[in-house]
Amino acid sequence: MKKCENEEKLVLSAQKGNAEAFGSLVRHYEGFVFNVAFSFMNNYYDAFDVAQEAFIKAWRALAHFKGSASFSTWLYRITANTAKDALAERRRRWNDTEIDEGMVASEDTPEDSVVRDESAKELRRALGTLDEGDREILVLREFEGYSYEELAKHFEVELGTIKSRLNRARAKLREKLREQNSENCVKYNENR
Amino acid sequence: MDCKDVKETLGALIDNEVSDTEKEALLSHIAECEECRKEYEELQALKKDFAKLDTKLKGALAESVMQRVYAESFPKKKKPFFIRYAGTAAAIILVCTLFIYTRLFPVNEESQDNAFSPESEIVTDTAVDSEPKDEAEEIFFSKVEADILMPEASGNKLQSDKIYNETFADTTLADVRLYNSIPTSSAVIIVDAEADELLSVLDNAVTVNESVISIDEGHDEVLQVLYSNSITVVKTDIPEDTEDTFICIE
Repeated sequence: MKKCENEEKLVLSAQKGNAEAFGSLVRHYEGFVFNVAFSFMNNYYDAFDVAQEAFIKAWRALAHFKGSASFSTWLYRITANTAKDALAERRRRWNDTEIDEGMVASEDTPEDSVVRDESAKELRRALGTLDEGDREILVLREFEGYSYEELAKHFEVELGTIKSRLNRARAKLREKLREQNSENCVKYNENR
Repeated sequence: MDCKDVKETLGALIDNEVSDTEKEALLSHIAECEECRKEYEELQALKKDFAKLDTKLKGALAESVMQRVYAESFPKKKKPFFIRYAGTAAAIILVCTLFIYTRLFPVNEESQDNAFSPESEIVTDTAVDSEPKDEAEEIFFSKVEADILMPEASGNKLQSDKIYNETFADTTLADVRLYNSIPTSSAVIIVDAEADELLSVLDNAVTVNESVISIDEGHDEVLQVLYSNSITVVKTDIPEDTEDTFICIE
């Protein structure tokens, strides 16, 4: 994960209340925080709201960032917690604790103007149905380019564990994609 | 290398997390093994699909975030207090004075001849769910599981699912900044709090109005105190076992 240029200085400055410094950090990590949020919410608008809220929480809690973990890891945790709150709220609203998160994915989002590829859309749907741990490691690896070493530090496990966790997550993802593919085939044949 | 070992390492190969020696051995095996090659190609396709998923926000999120950050950094209290809050400040001072007065001189039936009858001056609102007044107060409250106090304006009503216990962090610059976001004309009411601890924190928040009232009582008693002192709570649903609830009413 590439750090923001002069990240330490920017963080220190933002901790003293410098909004401009924080803005530089926000612009650098905008995509990262959004992707993390999206991996939980599986919906563009909800992810946008969660990401926004996460950044605001980070701004307010900056004084508590001591630097023991990387700034991106700290941001990740805030975003994940914010997303979990939002998911809990969504479940409460829907009064359904067994929501198929794949159903929440909106087909009409701004990103659809970018993602036209059907296989990528199916991937997004499958990603939303994974367990949180599997989704987290894939998001960090695939969207943010975390190295295995960075992943090991983030999850506080050995390097070998990261390798097997990634293998397992990818295997589950591919299984979900196969299931979705056969569902789509059934629907296609029914509609013919 | 056997196929089992190769398949377990294909992910690392895709991620460029293998040594040059290992890479050479893997590619050599893949070239000769159709099953492993197919697996490798599927993983490559998956990686390409991930790349297509990366949403281009084009700065929209950052802009939205910074609008809120700047609004918090430069709240309305930057305007001179005496220009903006003169009327409200006077009202709050009156309320606090009345509150202290009623504490010192409780109103009872024997004091009907008291020229200054606090209750006649008080606008009471005993209905918990009464309709908000035209000039409803802004009420700030803290959120669930907040590591530090994060007051948020709720418009003119408290949302019951937003009132939870909070823990107060050590006094830090961030805490001062947060408390600074509360309008200076606000009356701060602490319910069931460890008042000494909170008061010491608030002492450092120099812009907070010093009308701090500590109420070490339960929910119903708190409401009664609030209502009887011309502080209209538009809606509240504080859990009965609430501790350290922080209500700020402007």
